[in-house]
Amino acid sequence: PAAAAAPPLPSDVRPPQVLVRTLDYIVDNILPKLPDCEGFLWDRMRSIRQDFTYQNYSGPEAIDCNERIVRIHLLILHVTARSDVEYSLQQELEQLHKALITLSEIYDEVRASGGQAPNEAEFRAYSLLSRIRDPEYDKMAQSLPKPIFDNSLVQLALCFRRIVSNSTYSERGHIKTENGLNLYQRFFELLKSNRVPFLMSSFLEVYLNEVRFYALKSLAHALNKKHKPVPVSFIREHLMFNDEDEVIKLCEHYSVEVSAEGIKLSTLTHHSHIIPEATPLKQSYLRVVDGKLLQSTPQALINSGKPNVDTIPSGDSS
Amino acid sequence: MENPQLNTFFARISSGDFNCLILNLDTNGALVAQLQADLQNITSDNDLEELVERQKFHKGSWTRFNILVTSFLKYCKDVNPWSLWESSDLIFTYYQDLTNCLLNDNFPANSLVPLFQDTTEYAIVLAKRLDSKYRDLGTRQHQFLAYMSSVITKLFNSIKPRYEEPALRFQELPKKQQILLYTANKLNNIYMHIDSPSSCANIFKNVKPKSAIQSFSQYPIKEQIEYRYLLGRYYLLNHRVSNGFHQLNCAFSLLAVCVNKSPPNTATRRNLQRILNFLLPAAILFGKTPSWDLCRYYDPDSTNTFEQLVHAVKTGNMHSFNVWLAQHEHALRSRKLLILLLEKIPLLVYRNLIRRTVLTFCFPSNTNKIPYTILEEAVRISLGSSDGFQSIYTLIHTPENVPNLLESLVNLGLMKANCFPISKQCVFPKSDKIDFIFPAINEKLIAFFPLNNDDTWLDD
Amino acid sequence: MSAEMEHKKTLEEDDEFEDFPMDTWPDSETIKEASDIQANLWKEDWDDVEVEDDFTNELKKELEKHRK
Repeated sequence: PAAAAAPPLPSDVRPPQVLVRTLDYIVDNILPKLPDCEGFLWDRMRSIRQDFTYQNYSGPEAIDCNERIVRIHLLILHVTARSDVEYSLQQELEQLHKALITLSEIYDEVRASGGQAPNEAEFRAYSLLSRIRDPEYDKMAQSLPKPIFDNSLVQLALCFRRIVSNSTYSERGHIKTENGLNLYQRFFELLKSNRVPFLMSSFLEVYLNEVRFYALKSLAHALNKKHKPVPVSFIREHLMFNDEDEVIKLCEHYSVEVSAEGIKLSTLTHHSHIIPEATPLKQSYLRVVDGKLLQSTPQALINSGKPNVDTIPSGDSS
Repeated sequence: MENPQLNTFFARISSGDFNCLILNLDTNGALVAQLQADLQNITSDNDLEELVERQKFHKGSWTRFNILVTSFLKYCKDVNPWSLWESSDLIFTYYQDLTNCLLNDNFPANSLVPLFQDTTEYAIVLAKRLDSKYRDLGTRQHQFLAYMSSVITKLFNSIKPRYEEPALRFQELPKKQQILLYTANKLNNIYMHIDSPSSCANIFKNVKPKSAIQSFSQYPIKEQIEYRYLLGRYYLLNHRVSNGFHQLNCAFSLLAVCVNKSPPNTATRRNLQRILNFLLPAAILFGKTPSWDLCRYYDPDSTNTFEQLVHAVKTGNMHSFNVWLAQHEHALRSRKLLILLLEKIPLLVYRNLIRRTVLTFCFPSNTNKIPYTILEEAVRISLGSSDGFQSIYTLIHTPENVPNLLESLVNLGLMKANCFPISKQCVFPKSDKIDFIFPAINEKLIAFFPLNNDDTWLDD
Repeated sequence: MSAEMEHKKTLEEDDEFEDFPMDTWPDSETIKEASDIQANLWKEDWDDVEVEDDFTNELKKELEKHRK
């Protein structure tokens, strides 16, 4: 719908400082109303980003707003997943992805003119997780300057990309590649640890369902066909489900037989985590990530970056 | 108005001698200087255009050709031999005007093809030089090469296959068809250079439909070699190991024959080393070890480097694998190989480690079971200390991964076994042949990850 | 900088082919020789030769401790 709309009158486009103040207001007054205000937030944040685009502005205010908008989207991913509100994960991810692309472009520009945006590493890390199986992003990562590449969040994001790099992943348009290890246990171990900050954990929760699917598939293929059913409690523990109900729901979704003795993994016949024409599984979340959220306030999380001033050294031609 | 040089110049063009349209001052500088002198009294662009039109080249029907000649004369008139930057507009406008002449097949553009190739070589060098100074010039990064690519793309797109029978011999092809592979290679090189290799996909996809010759092997051999080299690198960028290996392997062997046959030449040898820099890692990922003596003959440095890597992989030593990666991080990052190796070698290291463990622990006592605890011990020894490493090397690897390692190996057919996650042991077939439990890697990879069908015509 | 080092530098920084002299069309022999080179280059697979070093000896020693 946005694409078809006529561009706004110049007088209706808010200048950068006003957009910053608008976002300040949102962070202070609307954010505490999550998850109910998800739709409203989504709309307001998109319009802030559009106003920057209309005036083709990529100064410090644009960096600041896009960065905080990314963090808000990440927060929303977890908060909505653990609630019952109706929301579109697809649309959240789409806006998140677009904001990340905008940021990457601005960071490249800043670098080309000899500057350095102070929070670049954090958002490069999120970019690496936003297309977690696209080799194009590995190429991007290897082109980053050494200090950014060595940043602990970027390194962590690169680790997660390796962890989920299994060679059996199957989806339309995805080409399977050789020698992928499926280290799903490590995925859960790291998510549990405090090494992975809340916002990144929240993003990684998006992949929970598929990581669990390929874990089951990996197990199913490695077991003897006559292996006895695997206890639900074993799967719950190893794939870090919050409760056994969630395990049963996942099995039902993929038509895997569950009996009193446990899960009959040999009945898992799907090759892809996506079942055409089926409603996808509800987005999952982890209780441990909830615990991480409680360690700070949403406002503090969103405003956690270094101030975006002096990104470009003065005196440099533009 | 007497313009003797100009008149000679026009006469040469009329006779079809297009060497007088060469930009390069090193080869054509004398003529350009003479024309510059003659052109000083022509002040307006209009006068220049009219002057060219009056020559009635090609009976005056080929407007783009007139634009090309005018463009060249403007270059002669205003070129500043001491400033590439000041002349760059003239140079790249001329290049575009020249390329425009080749777009429409209804005009006798064939004769301009050698000039196009010549000018392309020249302009790419200039574009690289200008781009290397983009900050001083205030231009965008890669601005000139990106411009070059947009011009060459137009030509590439205008090359249409002939709908008749494919030509039997390369020489029978129209000149423009003859430079299909040349153009593709130029574009792919530029895309790699300006950090936009994803644009190569479109070129690789379109060469075959555009080709009007019977087989790929009929193209000039150096263009075949370079095409495969670029295609192989493109596959590696997309983490497609088998395909990457296949193309690089073909490129290498063809070029190696030429090195052996022709008199020693350093450029050829350096190109061979360039291929090896990608071929050796691809081979290792594919489970192949080269003959080190043969490799050393072509490139001692890379050979020694990769020999150390192979040793780490063969012995199942994760720690020394990590040391190797960290030591070569810079070079690997610049070739975009670091992450590929980081992601795809560990499976092979673990395969060799577990294989060794089975040989040492199970074979002597004739058992076909191995407890996870033993494998965890082996992984612990293999990982060694993580002190001093960045987390990309060590964070994801722990002895607790053993169940997942086994599953991954079994899933890909690299180990014949069944896992028992609850009793924490692994059972493999009773056999005294280790190769039966751990089949050859490349055979399994070929079966699971077949070569791209789109490329079969390269080998026909 | 010596010519040798300069070339080394080029190789490190530039993976792009440089122009090289070469016959445009190979004789039929070239193709055959190329496949010979491939055959000679890839004689071995991982498992053909067992290698030993400090690491493999340590591994062996540790594993043998666990054998009943």
